[in-house]
Amino acid sequence: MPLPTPVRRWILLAVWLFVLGLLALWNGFNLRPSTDLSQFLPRGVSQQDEVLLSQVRGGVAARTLLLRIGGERPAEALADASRALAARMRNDEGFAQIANGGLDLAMRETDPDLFRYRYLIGPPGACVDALTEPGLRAALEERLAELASGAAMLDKEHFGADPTACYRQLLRALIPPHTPDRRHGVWFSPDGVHALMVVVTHAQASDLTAQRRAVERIQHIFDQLPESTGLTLELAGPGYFAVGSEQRIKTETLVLSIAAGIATAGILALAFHSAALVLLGMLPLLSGIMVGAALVSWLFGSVHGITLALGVTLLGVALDYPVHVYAHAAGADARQTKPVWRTLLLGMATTVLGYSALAWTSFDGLSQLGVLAAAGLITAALTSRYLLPALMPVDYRLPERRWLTRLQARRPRCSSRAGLGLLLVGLAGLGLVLSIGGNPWETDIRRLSTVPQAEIEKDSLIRAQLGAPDVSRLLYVVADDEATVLERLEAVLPDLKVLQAQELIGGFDNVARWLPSPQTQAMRRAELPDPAELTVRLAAANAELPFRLERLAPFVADVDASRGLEPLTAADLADGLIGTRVSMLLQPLGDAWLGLVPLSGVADQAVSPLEALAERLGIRYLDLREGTADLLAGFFAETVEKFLIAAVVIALALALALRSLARIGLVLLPIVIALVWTFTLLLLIQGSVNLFHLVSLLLVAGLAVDYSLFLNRPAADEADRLRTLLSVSVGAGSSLAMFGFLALSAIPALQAIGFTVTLGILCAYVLSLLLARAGPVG
Amino acid sequence: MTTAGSRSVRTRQAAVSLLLGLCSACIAIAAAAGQPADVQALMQRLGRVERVEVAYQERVESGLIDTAIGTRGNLVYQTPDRIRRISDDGNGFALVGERMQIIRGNQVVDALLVSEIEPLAALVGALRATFAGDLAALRADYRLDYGTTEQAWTLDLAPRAMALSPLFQRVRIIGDGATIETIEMLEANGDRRTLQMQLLAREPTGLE
Repeated sequence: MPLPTPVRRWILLAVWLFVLGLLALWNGFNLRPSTDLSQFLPRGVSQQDEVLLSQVRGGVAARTLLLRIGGERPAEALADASRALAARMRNDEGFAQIANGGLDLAMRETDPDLFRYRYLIGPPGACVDALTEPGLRAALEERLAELASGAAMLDKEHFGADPTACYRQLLRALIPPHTPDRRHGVWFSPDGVHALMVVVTHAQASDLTAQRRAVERIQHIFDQLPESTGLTLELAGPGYFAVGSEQRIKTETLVLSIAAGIATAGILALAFHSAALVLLGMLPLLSGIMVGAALVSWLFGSVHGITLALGVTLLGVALDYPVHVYAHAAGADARQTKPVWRTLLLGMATTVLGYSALAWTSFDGLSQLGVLAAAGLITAALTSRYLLPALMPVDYRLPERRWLTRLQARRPRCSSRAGLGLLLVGLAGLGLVLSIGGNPWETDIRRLSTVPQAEIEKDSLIRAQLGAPDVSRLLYVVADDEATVLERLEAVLPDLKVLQAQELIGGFDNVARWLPSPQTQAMRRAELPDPAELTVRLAAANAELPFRLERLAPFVADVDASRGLEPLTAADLADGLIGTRVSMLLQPLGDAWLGLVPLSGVADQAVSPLEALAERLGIRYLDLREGTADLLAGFFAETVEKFLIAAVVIALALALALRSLARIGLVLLPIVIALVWTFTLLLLIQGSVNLFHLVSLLLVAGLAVDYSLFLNRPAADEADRLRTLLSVSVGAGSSLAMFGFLALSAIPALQAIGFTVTLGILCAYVLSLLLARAGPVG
Repeated sequence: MTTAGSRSVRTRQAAVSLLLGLCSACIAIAAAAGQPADVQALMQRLGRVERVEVAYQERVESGLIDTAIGTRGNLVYQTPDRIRRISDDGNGFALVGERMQIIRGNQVVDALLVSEIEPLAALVGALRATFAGDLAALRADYRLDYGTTEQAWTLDLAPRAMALSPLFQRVRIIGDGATIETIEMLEANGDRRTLQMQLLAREPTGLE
């Protein structure tokens, strides 16, 4: 290769940087990173998965914030603060619903729609069925008793239009199945230490900017309250966690990457004594990230935040490429470097084949990851191979390394038989760990999270204190239209009441209780008597009672008006008293409608009756936790399958390239042992393996391929061998420093990645060194 | 949120029962203490009573009905904050501090906090001020009108707060010497409730 003149070098560098800048611009405009973990989940394959994911991702539950107020002050002060906070928040447009147990002024007003439709939607016993002569007589006798006792005094405004107390019973039916403890008029934890509040935001859970605004707004309002002096406000809930974890990930990733970057750069600087080389060494990795991200956003429309993070992790192999280039390009002639480039590209190709196995999964997140890592790695390897040597300072020479010579001379060597022994020990250990620990996969979705464990525990605690434990079991029905959904929901009501009476379930929330199907509403409407008939019945019912019938004229008129009403729909209720509640239980799902019946306090014995009645009535029973666990188990099964395919592909590629069974064995042995040992140690130390561990193992495989290929490469002479040892050792050292810092993170995902890769690098490096057989050519 | 609507209905029922109960207790105490010269003297005497039990008879006249209806029952007041009022057919309430139990057919059917509903809290606060002889607190919430003739004294309570004014216009307590004859509650809609009290027991006994 003719030596480039300095001018040509500068032009090359400038062009490279310019292209990088363009790619950065493109990514800046097209990259829409999302950090919502649930979106990294597989896309639903069945309708159940779809319902499941719609609930996990966008349901009202996902927009709910839990608040608790505590502090060293009497309970009255906490209650005052809770009331003041709720009052201020009710005036804020960002919040759809605020519930703290206190009386909402709006609630004292009669909801005009509910009142108008009471005979079509109210409980039949107090409404449509009470319009017979005996029903009316019973109702009038009851009203008379209330009048005598004084109970009717405040409710008297409704007497003339609603003598059967239909509206009052409708409101009673709306009482949620569980309400928390109340003290001083607001919700409290059972121990009386915290005042509790539930807030539903308008913003979608995935709209992090709006969620952050809501969280900050709440905190700001609370801080401004005179009542909040000496009190603290704590938040929980998916939106708060998303905001919190986004912030935490940003800060911690920044701090750790700076630390890791300094450490890596320090190692490179120590090894090569050149600031220029350290800076140039970053370019292939950067190019890989930029090309990979651009390709993914072009192919998929957007890039998931986690894809980006994991993708950059997988590209960690690319850190080694410049090291190989530096070690071999300086101080070796073209004849000697040619096999080095071949090894470098072979290592890259096999790793890319492994990564691209991911691209063919049905999981969006993983396919994005596969594409990003494969494209990134190809870019990094090619730029390292073809651009870096041309950019290196012309007169650069590798510094002398005494420790390298000593390491080379003293490094212990094991026979392949000892290697097989290590593999067998590893496999036996793995078998033992699996037989004791059982399923190695982490299938609890709540742990596949960026939220620290302490926060998750706080969330569960507040939910338990609210008496609203995480609703994870529900009945659901999907149909083409709202009416059919409501009919099916209606059909399930009697059975649910029986199960509740048998105490097999603690409670349920079914929208059909207060929004019957249009068919039922039409049936009730048809049963309403005409004014003449109703007047006759009223007169007969009042025969021995003292009521003045002329005062009941509004009642007769209202019943008559009800006979002309079109059935009420969910849309009619959207802006009223129970709009949010309705939208929670009855919602569009694609082109269809979804009806949900959340169940609480489901006993284990209740599951089979629930499944039976669901089967009988054409609805579905779903355990969200089991459902997501199944989904994740499927995810692991598919990922592991892809990994096995990747392993076979890598072995085949190596076989094709190396063309010698003995050498294939030599190269593969340390890789396999390293993976088995890392996996076993991981299970032993962490208990189970999650998504992040698994992807990190793939990186470990890529690094191990690299180390093993290089150390087993036939060396031209001792100097060549030393250069190889240098490049592998420096590469392993810098990767170790980088991922070692990640292992210190408090964010579970980062910690998992850092820990796995650190462990894997140690195993892969040591084993490759022990088992390498790099004899001189010939 | 949805709890609140029906809860307010229950609270309303409780509010009225409570009002009548408190008034009755108030009157029984006044009767025991004899006819005071002014409202201050009345307050002082009321504050001395520790426990009183009365039989009551209530009559309701309403625009909704042609003929008046009536109930009878028993009421107990105990310092500082206990009141229990039960009709002969077993309906009523028991109040201890902030906590009120609603009783139907001699069974507790519901419990609620007085402070939950503003009118009820104001009512309880004011009437407790009456029992405690706290004239200043009473005057903060009500316009008081106290008058005596040779045959009777009259105490009118008219609510100052908007929260109470939709509930009732006026409570009038009429006594003759140490004996209460009537208590009238005039509701905002013109309905009228009249209670008559008969002392059964009182502590301390020497108050007369």
